[in-house]
Amino acid sequence: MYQRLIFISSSRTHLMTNMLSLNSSANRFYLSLGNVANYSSKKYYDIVIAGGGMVGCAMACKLSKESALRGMSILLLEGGPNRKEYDLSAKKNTLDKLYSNRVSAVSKSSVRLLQSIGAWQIIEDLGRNNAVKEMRIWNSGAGRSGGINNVLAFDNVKDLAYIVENDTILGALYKKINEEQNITVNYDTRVNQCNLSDSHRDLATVKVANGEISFETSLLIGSDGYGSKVRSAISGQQYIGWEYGQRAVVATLHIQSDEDNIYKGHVAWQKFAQLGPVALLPLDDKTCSLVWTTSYEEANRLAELSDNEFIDALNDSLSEEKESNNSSLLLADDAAHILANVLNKYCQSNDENKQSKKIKSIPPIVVGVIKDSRASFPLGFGHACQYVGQRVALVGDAAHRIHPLAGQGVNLGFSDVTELSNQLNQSVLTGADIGDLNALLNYQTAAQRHNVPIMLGVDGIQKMYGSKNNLVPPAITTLIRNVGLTICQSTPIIKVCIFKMKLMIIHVYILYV
Amino acid sequence: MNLIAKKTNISNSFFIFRTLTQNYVKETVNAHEVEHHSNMKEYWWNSNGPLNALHSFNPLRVSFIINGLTNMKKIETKNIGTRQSLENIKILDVGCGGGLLTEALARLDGNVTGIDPSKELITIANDHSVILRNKNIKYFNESIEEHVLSNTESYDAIVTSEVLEHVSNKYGFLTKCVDCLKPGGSLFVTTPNRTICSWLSVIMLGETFNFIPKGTHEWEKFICPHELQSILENNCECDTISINGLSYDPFTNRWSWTDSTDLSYALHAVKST
Repeated sequence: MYQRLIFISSSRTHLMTNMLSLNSSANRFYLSLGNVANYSSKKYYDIVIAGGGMVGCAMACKLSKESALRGMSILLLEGGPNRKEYDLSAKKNTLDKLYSNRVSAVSKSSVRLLQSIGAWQIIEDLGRNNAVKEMRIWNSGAGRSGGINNVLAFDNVKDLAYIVENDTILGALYKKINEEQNITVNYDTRVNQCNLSDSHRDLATVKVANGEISFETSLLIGSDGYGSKVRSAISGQQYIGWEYGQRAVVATLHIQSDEDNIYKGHVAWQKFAQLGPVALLPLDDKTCSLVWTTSYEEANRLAELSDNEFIDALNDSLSEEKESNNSSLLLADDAAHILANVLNKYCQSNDENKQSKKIKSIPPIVVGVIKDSRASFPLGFGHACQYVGQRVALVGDAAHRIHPLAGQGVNLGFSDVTELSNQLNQSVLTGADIGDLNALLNYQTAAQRHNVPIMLGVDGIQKMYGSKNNLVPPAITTLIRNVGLTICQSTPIIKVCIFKMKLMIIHVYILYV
Repeated sequence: MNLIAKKTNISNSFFIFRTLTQNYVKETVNAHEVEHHSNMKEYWWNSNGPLNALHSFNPLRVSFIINGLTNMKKIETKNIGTRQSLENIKILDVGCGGGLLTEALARLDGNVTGIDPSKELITIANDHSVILRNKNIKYFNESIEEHVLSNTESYDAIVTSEVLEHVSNKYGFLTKCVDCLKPGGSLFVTTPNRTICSWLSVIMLGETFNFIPKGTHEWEKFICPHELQSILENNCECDTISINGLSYDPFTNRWSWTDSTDLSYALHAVKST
């Protein structure tokens, strides 16, 4: 039963060979050290983060706060200069509130991340976080029904999200980064080339565009936006992406709203106009940030307009007059109205909900635009099939790019940050290398499971509501859009249906048994 | 009463049989096992390669070792839950192979020694350990009988992970391991169980569908937890602290703890003082 055993050799020769092999490996070790010493421009950091945007900065802060990663050296490579705008003292002056035109809707989970870093407290102290308590979403083509049946309103006793300017978030994050000793920030350095090895043994090398310096690292994190250089360095990478053919026009607006309850200054509006969604995100009770998605030609036309003409164009787009003249659109609107009535009768329980939501859906009137706050940027969709590779991981827009209509872009990025730092923390606690592929693959699975459904959902909404399609007559798209909103508004109907289905299944089951 | 007496009789006779057979095979190293594992040197460190199950096993076995040592109050309080959790703990990894587990333990600041009878694998392990900076890690190409000669009672913990199933003389192997252990030190073993379940999953499914390299395991050599426990408690003056069941999902390549020890298990024993 047992195999015959063979003495391999006497213990003495064994020890000899041991010594030999140890010597040779030690030599190799010193040789490699010598190599490092020769190329003195090659500096080693445990973690290199390419791109110091909101997501990259949050990544650096979060990693330095993790218990297992304490004391690891982190290098943050930022393409831009060390900007004065990040100096938060300018924001403290509360009398003369000047807002930046780029804002983000920060969700609850992102707030938790920023709280754990300590950046949220800074933002709160500045008073630059405005809570959104209600969202009103409506569709174009609300004719005779007065826009009641196709308004979708979410409101919550708790806050839905917070509107914060991007540069305030960045300023708070950079303040935290500067307090941290283990984080080094290199400004004006853009990643030019990344050398990623297939072997577990070799380190990743990052070459910087404006100098001969290159960095060696155990883990390279790419947060360098949708044109990521790090992403293209991952072997076997496939990137699925397309342009929407639309641009987002942003501006900071003064508005006039006749609201005078607790919701004043806390309502976000979004209108699905024919050319794309228009969103007004509240900054305070008089000021709003605009994100107006529209076609390229329209965006160019809007850029040419004077401020006053721009305000008129925006107010026209927010109100309904032009579209409601078309008889087929009116028909579509009526159909949706009837459907809404039927749905309401079907689920009686929904009625009290409906009553409270039958609020005046009059859009706010824009009265002014802050000087030099108008700008526009292109929109697209992007998905990296591989978020990770040997000693490399992607976070934020480098891995995924979505339409801003739901305000989810930065929140997806922040959820990546939370997920990646959790996985790294866990794997380092069990003795794994910081760039261990297994931990990174776990991150990829978790992050894609979270992101891809949201991305597809947002893309679907964009396709349905956010674009003009020449093949389908506008009446039909309007009808479908309205019906969609009506069904969303009365979601309890779905619950009722499912409940009845269950009952039926149980009945059938009992019959057969 | 009668039944218990009968049972002790049976186990005694088993014990006599085992001592007889095990005294017959003295060596703990099997040449063909060493050769088989040496052939894996090309892909030992390839985490997507044929040994990916071994790679993904690391987090679980490392946390098992850390938890065991924490329970025995071997880990300093300030180091619990940090990257330095094994600081000042002397660990011997018997049958370290390419050093997968050895490096993980060294990375947690343990003072780790790895021994393996395969010269090729020790070379691989030495080469790979270059990526560790300033860590205490040593490798020796020797068997446990050779190692025990100069290292009696000198380790705080001994780890033999996925090794016992390749050893014929389990009795000799385990006593030698325990001889290296300081009194009160911990022995950690992970190995597959000898059940129909493990035969089906390890030999039939695992090696047929290449989750494990072909010919790695001989089911007859597997050991049941109660057999292992009886050797440790009757012959090695050890107390078994815990036996935990392990399960593996080849599709997600993930290991997890379960209640059932049918497939594979991890055992923690402590040498009595």
